[in-house]
Amino acid sequence: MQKYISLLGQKAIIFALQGELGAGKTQFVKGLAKGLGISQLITSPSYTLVNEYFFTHQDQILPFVHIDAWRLPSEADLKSIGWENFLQAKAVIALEWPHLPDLKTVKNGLVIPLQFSYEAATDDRSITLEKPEEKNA
Amino acid sequence: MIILGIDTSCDDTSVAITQDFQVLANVISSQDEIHAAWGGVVPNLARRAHEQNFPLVLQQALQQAELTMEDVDVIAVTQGHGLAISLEVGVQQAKDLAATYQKPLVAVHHSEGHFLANLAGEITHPAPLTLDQMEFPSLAILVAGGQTQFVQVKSLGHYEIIGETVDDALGEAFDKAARLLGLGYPGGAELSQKAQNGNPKAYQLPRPMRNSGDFNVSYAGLKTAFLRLVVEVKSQSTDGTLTETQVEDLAASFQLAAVDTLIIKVKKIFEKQQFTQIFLGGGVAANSFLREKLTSFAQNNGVSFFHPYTTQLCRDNAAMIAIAGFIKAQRGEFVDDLNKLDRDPQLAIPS
Repeated sequence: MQKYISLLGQKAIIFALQGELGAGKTQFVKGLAKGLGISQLITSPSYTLVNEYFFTHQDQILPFVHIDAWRLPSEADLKSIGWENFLQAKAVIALEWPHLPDLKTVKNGLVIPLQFSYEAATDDRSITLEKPEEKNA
Repeated sequence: MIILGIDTSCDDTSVAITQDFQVLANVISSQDEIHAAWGGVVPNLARRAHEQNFPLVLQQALQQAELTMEDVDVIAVTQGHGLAISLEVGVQQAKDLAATYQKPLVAVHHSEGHFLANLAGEITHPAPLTLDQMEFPSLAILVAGGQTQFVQVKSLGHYEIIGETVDDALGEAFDKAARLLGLGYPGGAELSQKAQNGNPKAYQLPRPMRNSGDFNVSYAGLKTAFLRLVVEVKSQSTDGTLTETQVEDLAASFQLAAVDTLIIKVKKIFEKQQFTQIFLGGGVAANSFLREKLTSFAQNNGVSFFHPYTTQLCRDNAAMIAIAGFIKAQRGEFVDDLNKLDRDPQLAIPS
């Protein structure tokens, strides 16, 4: 995550998190928020669909947005929860998403797909980082 | 005083008419049918459905109460907490009605409504208690799909959250556990039904954060433990599916762990501070197992325990918003400028 810090406040950074219930997505988002200096309690956005927090980076106040989108059937539905505003505000976005995102609406941002998996037999959890994709305006 | 209450905080479009603390109508048009197909709330659908439902729900509420808009003294609407896109519809409708009929408007916090639902009654059924009988400070336990909070009620309108979930809400945990068992959406109530026939001691599940030293609860870890358990039980069966008995035992074991997790913290709260009254509110307040556990805790500790007397008043509904609005109206807390009122999905409970 450290290597993306130079992009903070320059463009939206989207962590696209895929994985089953219990694979560790919530824990990852808590860690991410802590890393950004957010001290508020990060709770599940399953009910509200989106939770918005703010952090300061080099005198800029930036949003950190936690979205649980597993119930949103298409990318178009993201719009209705303020998706485009978050992109414009150069937010850091943790997007819990049920499938690999195409994210065509992202014009100026970095998409970092992370695959969470959980092996019940051994209680092992792993995170796989796919190739980040930079989308330019 | 005649209050028109409006709540569109999540799935349900609800309009209610109350006279002081008496519910004359409490119409709830659930969108569960629409959402079930998607396995959850879809905001575009939620907004459209709220917009379509609203005029019908309003008309039905007025008819049931045998009143017209002219008879209404005050309008009360949920401003937050909730789903932005849904809240927006209710707030807009409330503003339009207030402007059209020249009625004062009161903005209400959804959680305050859940707590004050305990004051709601009907002609045929008295409220669990009256305003005069309330003692402060008291403890409100709010358990819903989006929130699990222990709230110290210092006085009406003044609240302090002394403990809450650090991740998932209790209602959400019920719904997600139901999903893991292959039950429908929102499956929490169905899970409780299955649990009635099951053996709660059939399977061992953890009680997360029992020794955390604070009054917070966690349900994400319990959900994970339950997932692991369900996978294990399935893997031991020949065809990889669960028998009805297994579903019932799993549901009962989950429910016991989830409710126990809450009760453990209630005990810890009372070790630190004695309250004379406990109020339960929110969708999970309809859960009879939770009520039984709190009833026996209250009896053993000489505390009075209250919950709203119908499921209608536990789940998201507008009557509770009207009751809260009535109390705020009596204090003169009206919206000064309609144009400035906006929904606030992260609205904090008033301190």
